Amino acid sequence: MNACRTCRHFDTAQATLECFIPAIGSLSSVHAASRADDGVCAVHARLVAATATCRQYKEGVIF
Amino acid sequence: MSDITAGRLTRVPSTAFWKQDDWWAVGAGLALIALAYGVFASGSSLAWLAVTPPKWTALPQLTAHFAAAWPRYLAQAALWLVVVSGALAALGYRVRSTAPAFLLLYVLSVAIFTLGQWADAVRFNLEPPLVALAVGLLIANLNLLPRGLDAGFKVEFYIKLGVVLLGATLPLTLIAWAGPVALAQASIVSIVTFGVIFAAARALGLEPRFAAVLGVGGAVCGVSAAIAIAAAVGARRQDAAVTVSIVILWAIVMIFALPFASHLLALPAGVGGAWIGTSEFADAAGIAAAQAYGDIAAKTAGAAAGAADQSVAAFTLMKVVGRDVWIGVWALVLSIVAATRWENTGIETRIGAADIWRRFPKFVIGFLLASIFITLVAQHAGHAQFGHATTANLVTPIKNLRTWAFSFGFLSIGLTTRARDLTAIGARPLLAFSAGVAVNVVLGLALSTWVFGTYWQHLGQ
Repeated sequence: MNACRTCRHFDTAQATLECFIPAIGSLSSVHAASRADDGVCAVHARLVAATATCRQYKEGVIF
Repeated sequence: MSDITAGRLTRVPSTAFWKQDDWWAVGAGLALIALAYGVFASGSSLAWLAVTPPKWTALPQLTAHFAAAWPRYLAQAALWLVVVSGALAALGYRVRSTAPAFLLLYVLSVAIFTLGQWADAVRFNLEPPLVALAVGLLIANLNLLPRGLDAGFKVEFYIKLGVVLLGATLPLTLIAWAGPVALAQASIVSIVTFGVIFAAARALGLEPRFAAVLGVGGAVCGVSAAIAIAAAVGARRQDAAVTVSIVILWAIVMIFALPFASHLLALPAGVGGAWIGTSEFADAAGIAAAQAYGDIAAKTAGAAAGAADQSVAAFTLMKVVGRDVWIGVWALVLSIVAATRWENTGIETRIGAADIWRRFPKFVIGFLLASIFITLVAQHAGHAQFGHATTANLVTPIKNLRTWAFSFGFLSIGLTTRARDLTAIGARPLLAFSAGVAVNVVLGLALSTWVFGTYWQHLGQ
């Protein structure tokens, strides 16, 4: 099964994370190494690691 | 960030080193240390550029200083502007946003630094980190600046840069001596704090993933840990947002509360720093509190030499070495627990041992490299020489640059913390987190004073 990294529902952009958690920049950073490749899954409305997988995987791009 | 290659999605991973502020802080910090050493090795010193406002009692002293030293401040601002703009541009921020933001940050920092050098500043509780935070909060929450300037107020970058520079003022022997103690104390407090928050959250009916995210937010490294663990266990995004808000709220309270409590308890600077390192929730907030307490302790009658630095050093060893570096291990362990014991969310997390390195706070490497470098320089110079010429011409300028970097960070905390950005916090998560705070503060104080007090009191002496 393909990982979230290439799924169209997975968004790892810094702006997306800042949009969901606007206060993140005040004591942390979307550029922190500890974040690794984490992103937001639009289907599950959860934070997920890029290496995660699920049955709703759909290859594609979010514009 | 995404890109299209031959009709197929490819994403530039956040783990790419040029997308992480950790590596840019390491690069910038080591470059500044190399510059300081290069100038020192050529028989001069970076002291001219690493200027700071002097101690003062009357305004004419100040005007005389700035009338004579303004070209030095101008040159320093230009150096910082190049360093900061370069790093933030590499992270994707436009120089036309970061440059004015940084220049504003610099001017405010000069003003706050100068106020902190006033002979009566401590009498009026005008410690620069606390003033910076208060001024920043006021400006941000009165909407006095456009949000676009946030591009230059990158708290984490400035704090990580300051920690790397801090490494060049701590010999490796000190880290080797105090590191295991910090590790032992931090491990005890982290595990107990996580356990208390998790148990309280579960008892209050919160689901285990949310409880885990709250737990690491209090036990490991605040906001960064909350985000990392939320992804590792597949927590709901609103749970992460609520945790971030609670962490910020408590961290801001603790920036003011811990230094004043340490002062009331008359703790030695090292002990106060260790306590703050155990009980603060974020690096930036903790360094602000530790530096504020260092300033207070240093001006207390009978204070040990170097008390101001002792507090920040103890904090950094406790928080960064003792707590932060374990974030990958927490992610790995909790992802396994989530996958095997908690309700299936339809997402299969695949966190492996490689994540321990992927999530490792890389700026710690810069901190250690800087410490190794200064230790080698000290060995080469010999004890007597290091005590005089090297300290004055190499270490002190680096220390001054570190103080500036931290000042930019403290101001940025306030300038980016807006009440309206905080997600609505429910009573149950706040209660669960607060239970952990209560236990953490008491246990941290007991360990810092009674169990390991001797180590922290004599740190670096």
